[in-house]
Amino acid sequence: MAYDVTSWFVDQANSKISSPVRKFTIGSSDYSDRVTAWPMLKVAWDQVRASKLTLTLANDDGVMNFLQQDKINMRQDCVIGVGFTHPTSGAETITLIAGKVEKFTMSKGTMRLTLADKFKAFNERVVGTSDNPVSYTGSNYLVSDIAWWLCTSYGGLDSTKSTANPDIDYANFSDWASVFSGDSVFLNARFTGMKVTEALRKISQITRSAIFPENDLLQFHRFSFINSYAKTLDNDTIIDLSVGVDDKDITNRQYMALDYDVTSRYHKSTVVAASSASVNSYGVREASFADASMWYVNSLSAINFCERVTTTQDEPYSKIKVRAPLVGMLRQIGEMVYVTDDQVGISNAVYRIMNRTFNMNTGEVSFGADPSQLLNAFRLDYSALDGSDVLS
Amino acid sequence: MSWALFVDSSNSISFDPEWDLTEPGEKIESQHRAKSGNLYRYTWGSFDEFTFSMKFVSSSDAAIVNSWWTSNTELLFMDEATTQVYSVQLMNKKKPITKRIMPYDDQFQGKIKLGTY
Repeated sequence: MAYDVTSWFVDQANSKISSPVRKFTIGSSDYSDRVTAWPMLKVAWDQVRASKLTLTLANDDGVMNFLQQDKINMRQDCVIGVGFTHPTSGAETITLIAGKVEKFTMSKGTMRLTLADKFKAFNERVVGTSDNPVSYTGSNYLVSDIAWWLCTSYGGLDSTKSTANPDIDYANFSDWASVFSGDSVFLNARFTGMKVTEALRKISQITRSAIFPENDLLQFHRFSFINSYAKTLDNDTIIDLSVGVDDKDITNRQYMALDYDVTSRYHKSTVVAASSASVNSYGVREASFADASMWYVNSLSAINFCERVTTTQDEPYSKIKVRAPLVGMLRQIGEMVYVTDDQVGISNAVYRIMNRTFNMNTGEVSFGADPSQLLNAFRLDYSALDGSDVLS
Repeated sequence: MSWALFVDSSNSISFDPEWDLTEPGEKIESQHRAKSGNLYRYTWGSFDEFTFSMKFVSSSDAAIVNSWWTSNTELLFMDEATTQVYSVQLMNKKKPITKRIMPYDDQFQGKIKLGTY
């Protein structure tokens, strides 16, 4: 879900000269002017965990002491945002994190304060125990159903099944769920005390999905085709770019153990998918996935996973790291960047943003992007009729 | 040119700063240079500064200024010929007005550094 901002905001983000504003509020009180060091926000596609940001505030006059004097104040809603002040309509900001105070230290007139978003609960709650496990073994379960129960019944998120859900991006979740119901991908699972974070991470791994918090909502994606949200970065907007290729990213033969017997503790079957073209070119690169807490129930479901791996990782791919100014501030995980950098021989190449970092102190945005979660990448080029240009 | 440094109307001093009065000011800014040479400049904020020397300050005014420095008092600062008022604090690292002016034992001098907040 892209940030919902005005075109004026976009213009400001793209501008070479601007005066951004940063906001930090506790409850209804604005403490932005007290912040002496702003945090760095990091989000990655495969890290199902709470975002935590640390600020440093001036407290020479003791105004922040209310947090220390009455600890219940730590439960107030806090927001960190960034944006611009419109000359007539006032400040327009995007929320980078909304959460509560997790911890703070006060010393020599300064305060270091750490906020954690609501997904912190995933690290604080467990699913089942060894003597009383939570079992999803009585039927064939859609992976999306298990994910929903983990988030709501065990993670404590809101269970409203509509876009009004304040914790889960339900539109994204529905799209994600439809992938598995459409492909009839079924799982069984048995949890004996792992944290909700860990259980969701296993779902991310076993489905090759992106599960991460953004915009104060939990996002679910199974990336496939090119996202319509895209940004072009070139030498006019790139501060620095590096590109790397690693041969060990190749997996051209993927095994998946399935149908786990919880009594005898073994997987009853294994499926394999291979990319023969890749094997011929690069040699055999095998990987195996077997898990006793979550497993596919039939070969059709398991082969879905294996084929996805051997389709997306059958050859080494370029991974780029890009540093950009605020021009990149509105881009999110899963969106596309078109990159041109003549020096490293990249011309309008498309990459999916897999992780990003936003430095609130300097306004620098960094992206890690690659095409590993991009299926059938194409770009529609166009020309006026009778034009002399050649389409690529 | 007379200037005033004060908390309120009953707690103020009026003085004539020396001609070394400067108003440098400072921006809190980030700069990013893109590979093509494009420069992106983000101004996050700014503040004003004033530095000047004071001479022939009475012992009572020196004591007042030094006590403001000790307590980090929030002050107001203005050129009495104008209406512009700055909210300032004394930013000196050391006590500002401590040096006696020979041959007087009740006249002092010092350097003042003010910063808006």
